[in-house]
Amino acid sequence: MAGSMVQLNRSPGQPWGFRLQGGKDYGQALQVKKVQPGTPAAGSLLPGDTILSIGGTNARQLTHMQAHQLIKSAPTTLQLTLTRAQSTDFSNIKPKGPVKFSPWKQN
Amino acid sequence: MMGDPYNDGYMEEEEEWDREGLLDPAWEKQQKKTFTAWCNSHLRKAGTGIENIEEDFRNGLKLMLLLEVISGEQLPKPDRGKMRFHKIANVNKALDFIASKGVKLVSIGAEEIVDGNAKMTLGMIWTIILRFAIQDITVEEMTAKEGLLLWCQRKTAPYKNVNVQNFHLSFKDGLAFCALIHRHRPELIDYNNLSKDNPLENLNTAFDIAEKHLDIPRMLDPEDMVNSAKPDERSVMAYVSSYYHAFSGAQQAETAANRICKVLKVNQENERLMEEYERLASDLLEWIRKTKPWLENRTTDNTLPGTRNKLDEFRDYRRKHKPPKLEDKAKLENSFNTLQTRLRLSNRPAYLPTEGKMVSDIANAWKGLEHAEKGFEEWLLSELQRLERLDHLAQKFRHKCEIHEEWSAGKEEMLQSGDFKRCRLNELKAMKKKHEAFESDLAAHQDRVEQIAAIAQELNALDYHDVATVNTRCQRICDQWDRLGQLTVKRREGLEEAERILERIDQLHLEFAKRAAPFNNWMDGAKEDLLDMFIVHTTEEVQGLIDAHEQFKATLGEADKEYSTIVSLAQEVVRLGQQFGLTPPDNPYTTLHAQDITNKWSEVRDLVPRRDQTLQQEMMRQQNNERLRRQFAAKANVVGQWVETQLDAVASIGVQMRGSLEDQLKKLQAFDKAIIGYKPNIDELERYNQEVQEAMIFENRYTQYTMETLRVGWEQLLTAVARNINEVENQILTRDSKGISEDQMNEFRMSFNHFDKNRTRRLEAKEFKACLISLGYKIRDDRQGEADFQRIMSIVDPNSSGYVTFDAFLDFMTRETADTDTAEQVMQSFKILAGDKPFITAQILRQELPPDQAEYCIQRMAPYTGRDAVPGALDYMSFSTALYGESDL
Repeated sequence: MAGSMVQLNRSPGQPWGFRLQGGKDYGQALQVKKVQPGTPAAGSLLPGDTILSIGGTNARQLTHMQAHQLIKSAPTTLQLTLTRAQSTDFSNIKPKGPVKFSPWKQN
Repeated sequence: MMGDPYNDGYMEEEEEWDREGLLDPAWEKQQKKTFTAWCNSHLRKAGTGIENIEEDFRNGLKLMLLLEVISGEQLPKPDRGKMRFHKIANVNKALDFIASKGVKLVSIGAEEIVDGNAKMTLGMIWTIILRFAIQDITVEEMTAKEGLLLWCQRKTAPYKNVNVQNFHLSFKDGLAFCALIHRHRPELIDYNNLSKDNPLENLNTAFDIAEKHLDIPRMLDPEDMVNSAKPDERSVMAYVSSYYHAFSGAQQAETAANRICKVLKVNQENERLMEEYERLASDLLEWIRKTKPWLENRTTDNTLPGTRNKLDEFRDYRRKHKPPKLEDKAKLENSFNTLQTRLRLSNRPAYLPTEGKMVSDIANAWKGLEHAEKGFEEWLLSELQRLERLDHLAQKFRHKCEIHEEWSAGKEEMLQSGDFKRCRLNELKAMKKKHEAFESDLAAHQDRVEQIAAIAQELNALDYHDVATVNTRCQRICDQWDRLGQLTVKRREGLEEAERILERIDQLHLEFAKRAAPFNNWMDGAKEDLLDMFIVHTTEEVQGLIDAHEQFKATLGEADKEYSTIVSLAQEVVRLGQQFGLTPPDNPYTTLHAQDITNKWSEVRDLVPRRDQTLQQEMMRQQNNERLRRQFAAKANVVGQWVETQLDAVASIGVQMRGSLEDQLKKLQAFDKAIIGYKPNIDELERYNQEVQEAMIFENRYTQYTMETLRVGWEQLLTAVARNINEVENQILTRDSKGISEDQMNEFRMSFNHFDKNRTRRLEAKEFKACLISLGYKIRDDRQGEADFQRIMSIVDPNSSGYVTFDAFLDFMTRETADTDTAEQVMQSFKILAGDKPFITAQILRQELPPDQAEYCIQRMAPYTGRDAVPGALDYMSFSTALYGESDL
């Protein structure tokens, strides 16, 4: 699956500002869990983004700690390939009020 | 004198007597004792204390220290000088700090504190108690005094002899204190033995226990409480607030510990399920990997016993080894679904098995196994049939060889004999005739040799296992046949050379020879036919053989006449010899004697009834086979019908929507029980089938069912029931954990079933879309609508299988109603246990959590490395995020 490339920049010692989730040892894909506002990650990453590669390394093979160390040890720039998260907010199309089955409704 | 935050009705009342300087001396005495103890309960944390409240705060130093301890904040550096203005400056720093916390100190001046004004000092300390110990108490949005009072009322409500209405008289008999302790720590106090009539004893009991077990120093004097008409309200409030802080803190810790336990249990169970899945998957894949090559190997050792053995092995595989593995496979799929449901419910991301152990990998491996198995049994049976036929052919070969070898024995020696060079003419003539007869005999045997060679060739073509012996024997016969031909030619040349000299005829012998030879040949043929081996599969075929035999028997009368004629010719020679008193010479025209013909004829006649018997036995065997076919068919038709009916019934349960999920579950469990109870019928059928196979019966026209189709149907039934039970259980799990009502559940089910047209218990994308629309989702018929729908699909079908299960559908419809844990909630819970510190110790964990969960945490928590770390400090923050497979970067 081709993903989109993102580059983050930070000053030395500053945290990237996002929370990582998953890894091979958890039996889960590496994902962005949440993003702190006002940090290098803000605006570039979204909660739910799946990380396909870190720098040039394929992320599918990494344990959580391996990925964690790889990202942590990046100096001031970090390149990630991502599958963009899809919004899980459906409030605009959800029915208002209790759900009733109405078989006559159709497009 | 007080600031705005306390400007409620309660405070106004106090201002009255303050302004008039009417502090009751008894109250002042109580306040001094209580406030001193209260201050010391905080100052001891800084390793100090006071003895005289109006004296010890005069220089402002301990006052500043007290404020630092209770606020946890740093005050400006105090002046160290001993002059009066230094003291005033320090007291002012303390008062400024209090003012900075939003409290207006209207009538308290630094000078009065420095001068040791008792009333002012007590007022100031009360302000501090109110601001730092009571203001933060909030119970249902009420503040300070009301909140504290409400807390006392709620906690003492179950105690009939306690009625808290205020902070003075209501506490006078001491029972209220005892009740507060008993309510939170029932093991500390024997409440039932207390009496309203022993106030002094009650107060002492409560204060002792609070001091010893709750770390709350004695602040009130029991004698004062009992003796004053109305105990000092402020003193009682200061003391009760210490109870509140001791207990509400404990309660918070308990809630926090419960939350952590709940989350850890979910995690441990999920880890166990993942391990179980991986283990089951590995085992199953390993078994398939080992079993497949055996099924793919379509070779036998080419013998009947070896091949029969292989059929037994296959039967074992199909009846004993494969069914439990199929169960494992179903179990694996079910535990995968359960795990995903659990992960979804506990807000964890979906579980991805190790590469190569996905559900689809297992399904593929299983498919590979079934593919390898396909046709194995048919192949094995046809192989058996082939080998049986070969065996029969080989016997026929040996039988023909024996006959031929018997005939050819001694012929070479005879042909090489030089007898015709030493005999008289008439004998020579006879010899020549004899040789001619031999030549025709030889020609007659040509067919037999060719038959032998043809059979040998067929055995070669069919790859008979002992073909070497066959070929050697055939070669020997053919070689000898060639030699016989050459020798015959040679001898004929010798005889013809001498024929011109010798001539003599014996009519009688000639006639005998003419008749005996063909008759003898005919008898050889008849003998061979009577001993002919056969292989048949139906009664009709046996009947054909019996008919042929009857036809043969009808010709016996004519043959018997021919036999009499031949024998009478020989008897005539004997009679003539006797009549003329001479020894009759040997018949020169034939090697046959009358006795040979007689013997052979009697052999043929003996063989006829034996053939009758053989054919009758075969007829009986075929009739028995027919019975076995009918027996199997009758049972198979009943079982087949039953299995099909059950399959339909199980499939319709999920669709009918009659009754609750529990009802469905009960129904399915009843089916499960009924099916287990039906198993003996399958076993019975397996026994019939084995009888059929052992009788080598390959076709059965009385039923459309084969054992294999019934086994497959039976397994489908077992799997379908187990799967349906699992689905319903998962739905119950989802329903209960999300609190979905029965009505709401029915709406979801009705819409889902309506669109599940082919009753597969899952929807295709198109059907699912229609279903959402029917439930009121606004999915537009344009690009935006398609994008919305694809987003929904990525949630309900994360593996892109193209289908949506009811479980996933249900989860989607109710995803916002679930109460889920997050890493933040767990972190917050640990923070409460850790007393707001950013780290926690093993000791606290062992104190607050059950032993196995405490050890689970201790083993996994990394050391805390912050600047404020103490020895043994553990990092609960990274642990909490790690529980959800998360970490901060």
